[in-house]
Amino acid sequence: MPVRRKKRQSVILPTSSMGDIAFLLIIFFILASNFMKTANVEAEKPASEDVDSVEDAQVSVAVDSTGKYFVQGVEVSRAEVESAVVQAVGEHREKPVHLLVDKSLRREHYMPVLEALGAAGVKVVFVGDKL
Amino acid sequence: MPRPKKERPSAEIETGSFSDISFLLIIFFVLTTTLSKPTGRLVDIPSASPPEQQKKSEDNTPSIKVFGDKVLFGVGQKEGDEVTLPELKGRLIKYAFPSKSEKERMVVVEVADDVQWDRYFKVVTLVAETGGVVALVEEE
Repeated sequence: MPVRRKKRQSVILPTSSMGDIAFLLIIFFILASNFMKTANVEAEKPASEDVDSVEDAQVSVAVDSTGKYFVQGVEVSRAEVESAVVQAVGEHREKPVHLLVDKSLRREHYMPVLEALGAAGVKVVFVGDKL
Repeated sequence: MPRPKKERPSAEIETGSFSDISFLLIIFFVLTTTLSKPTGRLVDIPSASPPEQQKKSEDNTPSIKVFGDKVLFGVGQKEGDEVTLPELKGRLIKYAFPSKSEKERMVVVEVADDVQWDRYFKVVTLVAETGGVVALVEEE
C-alpha cells in the first residue's frame, strides 16, 4: 500500500500590502519630522563651554554672516525684528526663541536683536556649539 | 483559414516591486538625515528698564566689561580688574545667584564696539551658567 503523502501547506506570504505599509511609514516620518527653519541662513555658530543640549526651536531668529536678519527663515529688516518675533511667538510666551548669530559679527549687528528680543519679552536661547 | 490573433500586450502594471522601492526610499532618507540636537543656553534678558533704576542698582551689582583683548570685572561704579574667563566664572559663582531674587541676580555686561559675537557669547553663556541675569548696556 502506497503511503499517502501529507499535503504541504503553501508558504506564500501575502506581500501586496507591504507597499502600502512602506508609504505610510514615509508619510509618517515626513509629518513627524521638524524641518530646520534656519537651513537657508549662512551663519557660523559660536562655541562656549557653558552650553547644553536644548529643546528644538519653535521660533528662530538668525543673523547671517553679512548681517541680514531672519525670523523663521524669512528675511526681515532691523526694525521689523521685534514685531516679527512677537507675531511668530503668538500666545506661546513660555516657548524660548532660538537665536543664532554668526560668530564673527560685531556689536552693531547683534545688539539691536538682543534689544528687540528683550523688548518683545521672550525667553531666549543662545545657540552655539559645545567647546 | 482563421488568422492567428495577435497577442495583446498585458494592460496590468507590475506592482510587486513597489514595496521594495519604497522601503529603499525610507532607508535612504533615514540614513541621509542628520538628526540635529541643538545646543545652546537659555539666557535671561530683562526688558529694558528705565535708566534711573539701572543707576540705583549699580552700586553693588557686578559689572563686566568685554573688550576685544580683555575682560574687566568690577562691582558697581568701581573700575574693574582684568580677569580670564575661568576666573570670572569663579567670582560669579561666589555670588550664589540661584538662591537670590531676580533683581539681585543682575549682572551688567558692557561690550565694546569691536567685540565679535563669539566672544560675547562665551561671556554671556558663562553668566547664565552661574545663574546671573544679563543686563544689556550700550557703551556710549
